[in-house]
Amino acid sequence: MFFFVSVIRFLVYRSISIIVAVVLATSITIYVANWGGKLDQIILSQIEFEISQQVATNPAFRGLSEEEKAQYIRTQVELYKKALGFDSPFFPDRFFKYLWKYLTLDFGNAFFIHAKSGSLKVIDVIAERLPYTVILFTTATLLSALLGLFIAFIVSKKALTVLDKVITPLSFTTYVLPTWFMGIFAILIFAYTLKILPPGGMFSPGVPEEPLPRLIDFLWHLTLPLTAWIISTFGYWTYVFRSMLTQLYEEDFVKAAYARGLPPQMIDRRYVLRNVMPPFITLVSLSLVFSIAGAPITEYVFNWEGLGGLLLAAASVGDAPIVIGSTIIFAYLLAITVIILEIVYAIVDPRIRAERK
Amino acid sequence: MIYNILSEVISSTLGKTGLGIIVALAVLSIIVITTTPGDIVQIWNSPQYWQYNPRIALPEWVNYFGLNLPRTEIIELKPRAIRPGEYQYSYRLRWDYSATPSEVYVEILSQSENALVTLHIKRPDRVEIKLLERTITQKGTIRINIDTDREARRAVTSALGDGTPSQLVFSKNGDVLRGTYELSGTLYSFDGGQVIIRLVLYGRVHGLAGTDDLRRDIFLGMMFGIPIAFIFGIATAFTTAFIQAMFGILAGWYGRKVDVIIDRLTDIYLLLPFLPVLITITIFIGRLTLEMLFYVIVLLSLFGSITKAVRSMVLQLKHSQFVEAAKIAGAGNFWIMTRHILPMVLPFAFANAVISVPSFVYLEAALSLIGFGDPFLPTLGKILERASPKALYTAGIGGGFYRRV
Repeated sequence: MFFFVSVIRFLVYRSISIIVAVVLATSITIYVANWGGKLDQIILSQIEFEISQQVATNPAFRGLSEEEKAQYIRTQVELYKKALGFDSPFFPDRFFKYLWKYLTLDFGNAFFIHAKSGSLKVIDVIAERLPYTVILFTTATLLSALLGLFIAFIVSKKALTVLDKVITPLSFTTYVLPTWFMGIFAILIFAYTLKILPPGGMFSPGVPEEPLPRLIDFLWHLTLPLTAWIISTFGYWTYVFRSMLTQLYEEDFVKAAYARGLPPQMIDRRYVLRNVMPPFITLVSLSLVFSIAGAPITEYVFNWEGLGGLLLAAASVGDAPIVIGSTIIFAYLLAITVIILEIVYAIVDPRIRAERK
Repeated sequence: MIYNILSEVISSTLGKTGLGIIVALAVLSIIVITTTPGDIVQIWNSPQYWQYNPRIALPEWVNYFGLNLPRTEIIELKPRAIRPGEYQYSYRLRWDYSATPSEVYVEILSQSENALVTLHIKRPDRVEIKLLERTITQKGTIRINIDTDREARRAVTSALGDGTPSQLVFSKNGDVLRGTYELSGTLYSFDGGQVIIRLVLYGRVHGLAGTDDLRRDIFLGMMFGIPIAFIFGIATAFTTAFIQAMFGILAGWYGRKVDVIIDRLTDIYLLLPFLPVLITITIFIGRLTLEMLFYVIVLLSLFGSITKAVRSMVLQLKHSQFVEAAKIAGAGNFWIMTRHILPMVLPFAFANAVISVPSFVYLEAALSLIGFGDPFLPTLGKILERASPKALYTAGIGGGFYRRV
């Protein structure tokens, strides 16, 4: 069919522009990370320190004089400089090398932080933690949006009634506090005072290796962050969907359906829900994007071993490769989400296909 | 224009409450700014100022809920002269609270360079402890924490068993021991210099919001923090909103090349994960002061969703009749942009700015919470950063009041 081709052309165009943007964003990150050559200095001083240590402790160097030792250290550092490629200018040689590496997900080795499998490679470290972030945030956003939609449904059918007037502002009260704030309170209440949920982390220490107990333990740990997040964000969804739904219920075609005698459930599903789907998907994807960007704080509060927590841990320890790698992975995640969003949008909403030129 | 916006906000109850809170906080900020001493940063960071506050204390109003927690009591022991150079003092302390003091310090302010001080305490259950016998060899102030001072600790543990001395002295079998405690002691001043002796019983409640682990009054911290947060939030929100709107206008008005460039830049900016990039910058440039944070945030928000929205608004406005009329009359680009387009775009930008103020405040708080905030200023996030669960609770209540609709 003819529109299929134009849709694909549009999507390709969008994807390319997003990819270009990602590349540029990565470049910016690399540039910032190397501002003033600090990263190089850090690495070089570390190497120098290690070599000095070697010279001081290794008996093979005992015979040398102070002057000779210093000379040795200097030549070694120079050799390392050459090996690491630090003596070539940053622009353009190293910059493009780094850019290519990062775009192919080769982030090199970390300074301090290891992956659980023992690997020092940054991608491995990130790959271990990424799924947990995705699990937490996609589940949280989805559940929160669904809860909001559900409440909005109940409330919008009786728009402007007492129920509506009470629930709508109420749902908003938790929204104004940031999620990590609600999180801290939730930890205080559930973990410290009531002691029914663990205050953080993903697994209890000493959890057995079998999949089923592990899964249950994981879910138990997942509950608190999830609950805190949902309580904090459902207000937004409730409000948005409520306004959408009340509008929809006032629409002529819905009223006509009622007049025709269609069962209310069928109306809800076929006429109303279907119209809410495109905005629902758009908003959910968008908020996924935002929630991922805010992940570090939430993960810090709940001690959740995800990408955001990794970023913070690496930042506080000074593990530069991981910090850079995580930031770039974040950017990629965002880009992927946006691309998926565009694709889904194009499929679900026929108006987009017709409109875009 | 502002009147229209205001009247619409006021018409809803939610708007009224929100506006009320904002106004209250603004007034509060002004009061705080005008009445605080100029060196609040100094005060906040110097332990001497907070010396007589208890650590991690709950706010005083919890006592209205049934508890009877002690406030800090400073007892000055007045020596009576018996012979020249020999003084005695005694004091009957009534302890009726439902908890022991959090810490017990003995302060000796000596003008003498040759003196001897002893201090005894007799509990309601008649157990007597010789807390200290201390020689003083120079002028100055000596603060003795009976939990850490070897002599005092030994005296208490040998009389009452193992444990923290300050808690042991005031409790029996794990429960607080209520009753009358008799303090007594002698002071020998061999060179006639004056010596003042104080017993400081640190309480468990203090102030309107309690204290943190450095004995700082959280309420004062909140007071200092609110105007800082306020100003920071407003400054960042409005600056970023208007810069973005500016670019939106430029993109929409000039079109073609300029539009494409700005559009691409906006896409890139929207792709940058804000918080991670901020943290990356902090790592490589060091810890940011609030001022630098402001600049960095503005730089990271030069383009954004406001740019896109304003651009589409401008695209529409470009073809409206009064713009065409102005062009025919020979008006320059700048004139049209400032006189026609800008007034239409301003309310939108303003609204967005207002809405985004809280998020910037939270951003700063979040940054402080994870330890990357301003190292000296007492911001709200700072308080949360240092918080242990108890202090956190009270700080959190304060933070929670800072919200807007």
